[in-house]
Amino acid sequence: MEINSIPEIEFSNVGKRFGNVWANRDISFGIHSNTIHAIIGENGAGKSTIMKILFGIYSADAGTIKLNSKEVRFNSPIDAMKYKIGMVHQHFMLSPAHTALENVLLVDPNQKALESYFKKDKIEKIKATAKLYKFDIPWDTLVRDLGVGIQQKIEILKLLCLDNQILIFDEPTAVLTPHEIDELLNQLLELKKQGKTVILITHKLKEVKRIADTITIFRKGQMVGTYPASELDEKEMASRMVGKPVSFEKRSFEKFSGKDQLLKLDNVKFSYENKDFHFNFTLHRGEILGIAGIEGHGQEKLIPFILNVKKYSYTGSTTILGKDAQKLGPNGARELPIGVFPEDRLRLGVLPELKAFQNFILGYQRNSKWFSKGILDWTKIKTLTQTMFDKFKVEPNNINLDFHAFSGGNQQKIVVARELFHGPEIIIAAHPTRGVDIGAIELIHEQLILAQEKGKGVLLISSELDELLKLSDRILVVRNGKIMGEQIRANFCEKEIGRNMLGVVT
Amino acid sequence: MKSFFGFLFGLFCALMIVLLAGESPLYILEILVRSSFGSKYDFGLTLFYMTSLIFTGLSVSTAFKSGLFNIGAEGQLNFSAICMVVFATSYPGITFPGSLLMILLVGILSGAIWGAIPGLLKAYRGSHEVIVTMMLNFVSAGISSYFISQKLQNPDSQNPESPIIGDAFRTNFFDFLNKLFPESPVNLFFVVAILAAVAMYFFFTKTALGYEMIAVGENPSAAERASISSKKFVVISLVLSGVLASGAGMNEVVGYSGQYKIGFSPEFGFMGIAVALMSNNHPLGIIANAFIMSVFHKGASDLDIETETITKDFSKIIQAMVLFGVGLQYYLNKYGVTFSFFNGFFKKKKLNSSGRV
Amino acid sequence: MGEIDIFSLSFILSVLRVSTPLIFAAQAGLLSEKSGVVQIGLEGFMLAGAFSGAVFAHLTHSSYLGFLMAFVCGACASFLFSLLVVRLKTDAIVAGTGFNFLMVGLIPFLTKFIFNSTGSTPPIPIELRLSYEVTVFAFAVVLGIYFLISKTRWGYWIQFAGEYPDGLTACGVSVDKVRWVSVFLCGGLAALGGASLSLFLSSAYSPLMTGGRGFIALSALILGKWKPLPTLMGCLVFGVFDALQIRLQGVPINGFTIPVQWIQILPYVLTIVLLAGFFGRSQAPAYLGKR
Repeated sequence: MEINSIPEIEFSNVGKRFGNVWANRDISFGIHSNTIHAIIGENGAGKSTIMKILFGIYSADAGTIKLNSKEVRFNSPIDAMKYKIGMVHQHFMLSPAHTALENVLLVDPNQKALESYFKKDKIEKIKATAKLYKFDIPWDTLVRDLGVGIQQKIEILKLLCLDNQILIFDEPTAVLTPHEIDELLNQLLELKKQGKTVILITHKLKEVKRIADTITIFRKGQMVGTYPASELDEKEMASRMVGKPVSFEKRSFEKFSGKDQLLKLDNVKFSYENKDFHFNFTLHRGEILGIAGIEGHGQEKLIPFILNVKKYSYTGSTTILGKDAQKLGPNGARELPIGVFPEDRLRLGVLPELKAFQNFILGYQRNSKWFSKGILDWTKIKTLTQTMFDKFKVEPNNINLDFHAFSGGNQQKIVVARELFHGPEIIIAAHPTRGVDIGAIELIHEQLILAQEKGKGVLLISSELDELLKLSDRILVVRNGKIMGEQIRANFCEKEIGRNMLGVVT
Repeated sequence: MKSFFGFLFGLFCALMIVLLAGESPLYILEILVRSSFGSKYDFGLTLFYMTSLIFTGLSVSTAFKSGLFNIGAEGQLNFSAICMVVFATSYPGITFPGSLLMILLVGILSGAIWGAIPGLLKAYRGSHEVIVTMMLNFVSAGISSYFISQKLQNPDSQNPESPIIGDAFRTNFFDFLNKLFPESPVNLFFVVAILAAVAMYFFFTKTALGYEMIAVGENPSAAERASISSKKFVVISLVLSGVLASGAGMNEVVGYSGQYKIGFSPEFGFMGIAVALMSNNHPLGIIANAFIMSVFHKGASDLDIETETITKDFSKIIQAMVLFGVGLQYYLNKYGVTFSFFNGFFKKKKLNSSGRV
Repeated sequence: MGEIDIFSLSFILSVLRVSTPLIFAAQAGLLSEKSGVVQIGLEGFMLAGAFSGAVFAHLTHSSYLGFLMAFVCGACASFLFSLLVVRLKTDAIVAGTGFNFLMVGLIPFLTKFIFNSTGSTPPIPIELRLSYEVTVFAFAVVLGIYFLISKTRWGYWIQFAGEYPDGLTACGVSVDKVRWVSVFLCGGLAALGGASLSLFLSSAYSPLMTGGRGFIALSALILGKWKPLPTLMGCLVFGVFDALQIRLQGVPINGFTIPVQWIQILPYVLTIVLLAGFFGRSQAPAYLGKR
């Protein structure tokens, strides 16, 4: 591999501060033209931040960036785009209410306001570009009806139509199935072949090893170093990411004796928003039951269903903690000791504008610990919140802060603290470590294992296969609202799970 | 207190407009003060306006708390006022104290109904509460106009107003507050308004119901997960909102005039929006800001007489400016740049003295 | 007269007359809301247009010039609104309510200043009054906006600004710029609606002459599901009721006189009933009013 001596992009001493915390500090490295450059690090290591600075979403608080030896300073993505830099975000920048073609047509380097939107030559050019890069796109379908894999292709196509030279991908494989990941990686290699510079932000080392030319490793907001990919193996990358040698140890499980059933969905079938669901499984005492599946395939729908069974019309039977769900009171399963880490923390779990201690009682506001005769005992609530803050090491340790002022990891700690406070028998943990930093991930995983050891049952819904493989005793794979396969810990097979996620049953 | 900067900003802008019109801002302020506090009568009138503004301010803020924008306080107070007058003229024979209880009940119920309509439609049909409450303002104006012009015209008067209802339906004869301010309209309901504000403060800070209502306003999906029905609270909060607005109708009908006069409310319902926003929906702040607003309102009518160019609609300009100012203040608070003008000033200086960072 | 023939030419003409201000205002609101800016301030823009139209028609002795100046004044007034909402991210409902207040307060101030009157402007001579060419123009505006929104690049920018603004930014188009222009046109068009009140439906500005038409226009927009042509239909429905109300005043039907107030509140009740979902759920732009 031949590398020009002068890098195309050069960071020197770049820093970014949020409040008093440096998200990035003293970052200096170069990215060479026409290479695939991977930026790796754990969640919260600052790898996305540095790329958002390059793309003009954030502005740096220190240091300089040079592009082809010329110093640049972007105040908005629009500036970055002028320099032919494009970014595929984790959240796609597509309007769900418009068709694929309409979304791609939106990009156009020399836009004239009053010309027709559907110019023939432009449409042809787009379709030709799609062909060149082997994209197969259903042009006239609304984006909201398309799968994430295709949505991502539309995103990439948009950047290609803008003739971008530098393409940044922010965790592009997080939402894809193993098969789609394969396809994407090949496409990235194709992009390199066509002369583009590809920057890949990820924490998945296998993918890095397969396609990257150079690697920059981030840890805790700082740079560990930049290496040619050929120099490091996966194990070495991992230990440099974490800062200490990592062993891929397997947890040993102590099987709970007896077949105490905590939650049983017996051949449950229901419909919601024109989609059919069919679940048939049992959660036992002392078990972590993993639910795998591509996002949006109905696994999250389990949570509102279990919490509020009576609002659904379904066949089959649901038993929660030995009680028929139909015979529960008006608040459904919320009356039973069930803790829920919601799938979308900010949207479903908290009141972001209120203070931390006010959030601590959400969902338990009428608990007799602090509620009597219509009145809330805030003094008591504050004391109890403080003890949980101490126990879970929430930073900053201030229960009077607004919830949204906490970082993602600490927000999740507060939610976990709240849900575990009442000693639930069943814990439903959906994407428990999404957007959470490494310290909090460890703490949350510990808590789940601890609960298991105490004989509770954990239903773990996650799209992180690694997390499922690390924690679960059993894994169910859900596709299109149905269970496609089941594996027990003794014979976990990643490939098989991937095939199940795509709907292949063997 | 958060919104105070916004308020000052608004006042400043309004006074600048005065300056443009060739009047002295200080003179204007002097008239405002004299008009509001000049005599016992004047002060009583100011407190009378304040009473209605506390009620409508509370009404609007209660809806805001659960994430709803009630621009229908005007219609709610109007509807309850006309219902009370219709009730009292239809059953003149009821005796005290039943009469007073009944008319208050009618007032509360009618306010509740006028709040329940948008509440139910929002919860169960998804109609936007802004449009529905606005439409109900027009409807209640039409209804009262119908009664006054077709059924209840006061035979002794040329003005569009109803006859005066029986004394048994009014609080005048035992009103101690009114006796302190001879001739002026301030009455017992001033005390009721203050109590209502304190009660709402208690409701939102101490009760689980209040907490749940705020939760619905902050994040309806999360509230739903916490088994708080957002539909239920949309209805409850708008009903409560309607009941609070009806207090402004009682202030006029039961407490003061004993009749329905077309145009008796100089858009108290809309002024309540400004009051609620200025107070950041804090029930106790509403008392203070209702006072400030009533000073402006009272003063503006005298500005009309005492200056060449200022009309009585001047209070609308102040309200507009205050709304803009308060809206801006939210922005500044949110992005953590309160008083950014000053901060920016200092930052620049620092940079220059210490060179580049 | 007895029965009212709703198919007579004169009735249809009167429907078109009273619909005209609504059509302008509703299309104005459509431009603003499509781009993601909630538009509660239509009433204020209409008042500004009614007033400035009447003033300039009086001063220049030309209604056409007055009509044109109403557009200019409305569009200029929109700068204040955009500054607050688009640039400084003030809540659009707060700013819109304030904007309505401002116009209600400012106009009497100006009439006293210019004409030393209590709120009305001097009437223009009857022969200067505008006629149905305004209505024709209103229909042309509807067609124009239809083509703008669904066929041109600018129209798609507006759509994306309302549906997924981040997507627009990601394509190198400034969302704020798109919204500035949309609100600018909105101010101008809504002002034309106001001017058609003071120059076409009557011949002077009188205080609060819009009488809630800005909110009726907003309802028509919601009923029309934020689409130009259905919104036009919504305006015409309200126009029918308004015209009916004028016709039925004091007319006995089978010996019974319907109180005029009942007919006056009919359009408002109708709005509530229609909004209650008999027309199905409305599809608002996804990012309407979000920042």
